[in-house]
Amino acid sequence: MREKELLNAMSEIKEEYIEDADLASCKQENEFKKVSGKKPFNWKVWGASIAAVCALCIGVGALGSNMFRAGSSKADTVEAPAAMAEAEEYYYDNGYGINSSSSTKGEAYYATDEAAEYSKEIENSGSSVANQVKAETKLIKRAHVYLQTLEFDKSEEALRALVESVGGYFESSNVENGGYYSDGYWKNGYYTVRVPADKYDEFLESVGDSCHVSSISESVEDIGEQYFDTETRLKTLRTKYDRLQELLAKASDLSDIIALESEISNTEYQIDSYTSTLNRYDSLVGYATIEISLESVYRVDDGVSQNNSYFARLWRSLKNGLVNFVDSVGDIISWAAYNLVGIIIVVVAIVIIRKNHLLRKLGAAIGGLFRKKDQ
Amino acid sequence: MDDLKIIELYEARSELAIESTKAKYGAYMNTIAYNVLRSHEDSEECVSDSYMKTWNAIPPAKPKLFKAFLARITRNTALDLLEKKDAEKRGGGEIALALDELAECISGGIGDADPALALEAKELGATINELLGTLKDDARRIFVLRYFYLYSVAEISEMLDVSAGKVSTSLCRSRSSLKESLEKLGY
Repeated sequence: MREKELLNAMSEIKEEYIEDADLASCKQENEFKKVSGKKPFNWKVWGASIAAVCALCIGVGALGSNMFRAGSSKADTVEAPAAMAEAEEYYYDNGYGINSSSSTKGEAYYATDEAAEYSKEIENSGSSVANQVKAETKLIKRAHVYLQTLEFDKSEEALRALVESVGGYFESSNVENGGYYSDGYWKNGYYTVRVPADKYDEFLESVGDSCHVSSISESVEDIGEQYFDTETRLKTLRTKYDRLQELLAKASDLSDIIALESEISNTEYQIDSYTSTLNRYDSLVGYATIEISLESVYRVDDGVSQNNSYFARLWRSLKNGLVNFVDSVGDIISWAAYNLVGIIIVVVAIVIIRKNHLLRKLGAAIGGLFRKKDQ
Repeated sequence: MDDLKIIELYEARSELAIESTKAKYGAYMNTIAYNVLRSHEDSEECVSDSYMKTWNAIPPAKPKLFKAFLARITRNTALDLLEKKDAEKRGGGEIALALDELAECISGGIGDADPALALEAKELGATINELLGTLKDDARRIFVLRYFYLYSVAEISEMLDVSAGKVSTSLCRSRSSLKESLEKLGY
């Protein structure tokens, strides 16, 4: 049969064709496995299996999350705030002061007892200051507010208006505008604001009207004890000063006069020092200090959602993932636009190199043609 | 082991030559034999015969592409064994299918060769090589995998990750070109 001759003649083909076909198949071992009866890797089956496992995990997670939430005691969450309120009431009723800073909340000290001890010392030293003084609470309020805005200038203007409306002032202000190489860099502002202590809460409640409040951290420092100590010492020194003046008026001996003059001078210095300290305390207590960071952003952070169920969290994750993906694609496009010249150069270089390869192949083909003609 | 070193073992008439060939290309040769014979027992017999033929061929032969050299020997041995056992229809009919397809390339259809027009296998081989040289890489590979290695269309499409339709179309076009070349020879 002629076709048999053809089939046999296939054994005479060039070895490089045989090798090339074998390399192209690239599956000599897999073919042997096929011959042996082993099945090749089935992507469809594996893909379906992985998808089923993922769906099962999501379902179990949703069920488990709901079960655990149902088991938690709501009474605990109701009792905790009540217990805290009772504790605070106890502390205040007994004259305790609470340092309510973010890191030392619940710390208490015995202002009344310490004040009584100090009064006894003054009584023993012969001072005329009353010894049944109770220290007043003197609170220094501080806060740090992080704000985000889509329109920086508008928000800054609103902030200035708010500070003015509560009778406050800007202690310091620093605005960064970015530069030529900061393409995409947004304005940021850092301010130190002083507002009257009685307007502190009102200010914090209103600061988020024109922009998004990312976070607030507050601290309150009670300097009642230090204030009382300083005040008491000041009164003592003033009494001492008056007595020295009386003694100086009666003194006749030169050495006594010199000694009294020196003591009066020292006392005056101490009075000035304590007076300035009290003034500083008054300033800090009278005006709360608020550090504000105002950042312009492309998108404000999401607020805390009240809905914390599993599917709500899953939905938020999906949504945020999609938004981030879109942002990433936008960033890549922006990067490409920024580096367009470089990219064009690289592409042209690659094309030239590939064209050279093609030219070489074309040359080999033409050479082959001439050889066949010669034959 | 490097192919050159295996050839050197053959030239040195070392028994390690066949062991090394078996280790490196045993599966390959078995695949080629099975594609022709479609029987595990016959394939083993064919491969064993192929080792012997290789031992006898080297030296004086010193193949440049040892793997292709083995492929040719194995294929020829398998075809001879197939003819001896007179079992073209065995093994899924791939040989019969291949023969039917190649019959298209011959004008006048299937029939006994006219002795006056019989061509040596080498001359036919040269014609086929000329044809293969004009084909694109994919078409050539498909042709060789079909008519040298005797893989089925489905196996070829899976190996090269192309559709079976593309394989069939490529083979059809290649056979048409081969027919034109054979007609020029008066075959």
